[in-house]
Amino acid sequence: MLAALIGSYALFVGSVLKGSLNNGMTRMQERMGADLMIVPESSEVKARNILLTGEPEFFYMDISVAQALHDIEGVECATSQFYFTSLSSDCCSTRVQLIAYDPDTDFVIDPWIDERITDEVEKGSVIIGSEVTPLPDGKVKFYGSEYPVAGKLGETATGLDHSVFMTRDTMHEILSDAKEKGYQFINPEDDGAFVSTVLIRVSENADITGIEKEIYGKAEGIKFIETDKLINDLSVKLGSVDRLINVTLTVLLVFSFVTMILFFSVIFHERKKEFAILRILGMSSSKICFSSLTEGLIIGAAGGAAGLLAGILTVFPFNRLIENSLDVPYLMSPLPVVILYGLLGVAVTVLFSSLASFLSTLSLSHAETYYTMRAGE
Amino acid sequence: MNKSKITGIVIAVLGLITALIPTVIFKVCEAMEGKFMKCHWTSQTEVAIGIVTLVLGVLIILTKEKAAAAAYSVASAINGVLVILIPTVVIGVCGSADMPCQSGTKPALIIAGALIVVVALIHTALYLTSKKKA
Repeated sequence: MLAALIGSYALFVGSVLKGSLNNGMTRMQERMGADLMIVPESSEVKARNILLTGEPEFFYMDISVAQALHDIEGVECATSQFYFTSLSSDCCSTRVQLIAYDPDTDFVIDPWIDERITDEVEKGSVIIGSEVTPLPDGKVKFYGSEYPVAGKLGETATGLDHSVFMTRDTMHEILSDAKEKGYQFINPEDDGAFVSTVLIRVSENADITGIEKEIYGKAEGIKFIETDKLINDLSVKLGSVDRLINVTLTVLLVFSFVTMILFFSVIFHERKKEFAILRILGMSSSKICFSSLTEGLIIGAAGGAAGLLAGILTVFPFNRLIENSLDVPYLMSPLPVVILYGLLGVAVTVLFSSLASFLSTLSLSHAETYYTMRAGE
Repeated sequence: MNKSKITGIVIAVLGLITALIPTVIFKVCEAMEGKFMKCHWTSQTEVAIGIVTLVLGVLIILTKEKAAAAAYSVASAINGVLVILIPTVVIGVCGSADMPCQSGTKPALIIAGALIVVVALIHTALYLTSKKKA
């Protein structure tokens, strides 16, 4: 039964992990929105951290970079954002990434809004990422002031799930509060002169390298992050995690199946005289096989169910821990898919167990009943 | 090995695990700027409850009186409930879902507490059923 438990557990947990990693990657691709990100030359790693891990960062560059894009061919739309951070002052308002965006030009935040509390993001209100928990009164607190939540984004499987979004007006208020408390990011009076990143969506069939060259000619001290390259890098990382899961899963399944065959062989070998008596009493070989098969089925089902329960107690309560431990996008598969994985795990274990018991009985059924009874005399 | 001994061993092991969860297996958050957070006090309390549960488990193993073993099981079940209530209601853990105490310690303690309750209640129920039959 322990072997069945391990088999079912490995199959369920492995499938959920693989499914959730693929789900996370797909969601991230869908949600990226922009084809290109312009960031300050020295802040490429920080920008990647914001996107991938949600590690709060602060960097900025002159707004002239955003203004340099106006007449560049191939740029379909562009919008700028400003990144700064909150404080880790207490438990309920941990340090999160604060992102100021421009609702007039935005094409990356608005399409993700899942729950709208108010129609527009007014001055003083914010939009929170899917993983940000507001205070019990539905507000979030930064630098001593509370801000009502105007909406919540859907899950993106990116670091942006841990971010809070606001308009430039609200950013001005927060920066002023931060300055009062002794935390200076930029002078709140000059906040209109800086951006952290410019997000660009290029037209179909546009030459991205050509666009980059043209922007390089107009602005200095910048770096480009191409979404496609970022996703390719992640795919490589995801591939190695996937391989690791596959190898572990295969080893555990083989171990489980071999142990089951050994277990049934030993058990049935010890009971061969019992089978011989049953044969003498008139029970057919096929009936004995059927009875062993039923035993295998029951043991497989019980072990499979126990493994499934252990798997559920691993993947659901520790979902966030798994997500934080992996360095790749992770988004739990939808519930019907998880249920399907669970049923599949139990079904495969029952199949393995039945097959193992059947094979073990089959090897015994070749022996002559007479010799089996007389063996050892 | 009789039912009481098996129950005692399982409860003692679960008590030990309860004490180890916040201190070794899923360590709670470190003090921030010299300030201890809620999870630190949860950890201290859970270590104490874990040790008491471990002792109750040992008592269940050692006692020869079935009624006394069942009584220790009831006490273990109450401890199991406390193991669950400390990080969820009584003291709590840090607010952010990303904190190690929230993502690791809390679910692990809830599972350990639930297992203590289930094992202890099954043992008590078996004792009550056998007493009725007698």
